[in-house]
Amino acid sequence: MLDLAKVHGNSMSPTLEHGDIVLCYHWGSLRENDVVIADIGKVGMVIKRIESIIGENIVLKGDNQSLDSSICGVNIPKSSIQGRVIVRVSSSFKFSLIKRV
Amino acid sequence: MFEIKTVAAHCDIPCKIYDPAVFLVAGLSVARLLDLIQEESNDLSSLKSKAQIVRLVSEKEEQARIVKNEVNTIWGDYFKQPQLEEFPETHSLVHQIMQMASKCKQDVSTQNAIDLVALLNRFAEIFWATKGIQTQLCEAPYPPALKIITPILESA
Repeated sequence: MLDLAKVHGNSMSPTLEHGDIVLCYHWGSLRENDVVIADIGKVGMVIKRIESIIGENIVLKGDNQSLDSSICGVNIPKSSIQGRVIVRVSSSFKFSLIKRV
Repeated sequence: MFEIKTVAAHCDIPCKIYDPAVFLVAGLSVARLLDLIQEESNDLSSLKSKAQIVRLVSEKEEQARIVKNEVNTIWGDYFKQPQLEEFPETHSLVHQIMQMASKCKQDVSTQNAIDLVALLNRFAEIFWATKGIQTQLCEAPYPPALKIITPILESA
């Protein structure tokens, strides 16, 4: 299933910028460096990159090294992942594929 | 039809700004207050001087509490596995800071505060190093003019 989401914030800059629209899908296996949308309980829906996968847990990170987040660098259940981001639509309507880096 | 959700890509909820400046100023305040307590204790004959001692001791307690709280926040919220692997001394250093801040609360020795500021300087140095920011040791431009770690930041 495909889904659309709007990015709020700059923690994924320069890969994604505030206001971008992203397309994500909900099937297939997850790999390190995938950009994903995760549902983190009280924090809500976040968009981050997978830093590592350890068993049934994942560790997330932001692409913007100048920002810190309490949800990055800690174990989060793999089941929190809502989908993998595959396409970015910038505010100037430019389409680009989101790559594993 | 697709529903467009909003997904957060911000630094935190709420957005956290970490800076060792807060615990360094609190540490310097503890040192300054200990000096003032020593000075005030020379003559405690008047009610005013007794009241002043109470006020100074109370504020010393508060500033030492701020040191512990601020260091705990940076250590607990900011430091994660990559930073701890780079600086494995961090846990032990934070424990020493907690112990020394407690000594500052319990005692009236200025040396405890000097030792506390030295430990805080090392913690500040590590914090900035994890961010790739160079630091320098500068003399604080106010009494007791102890040396403190400050980041070398680029001008805007």
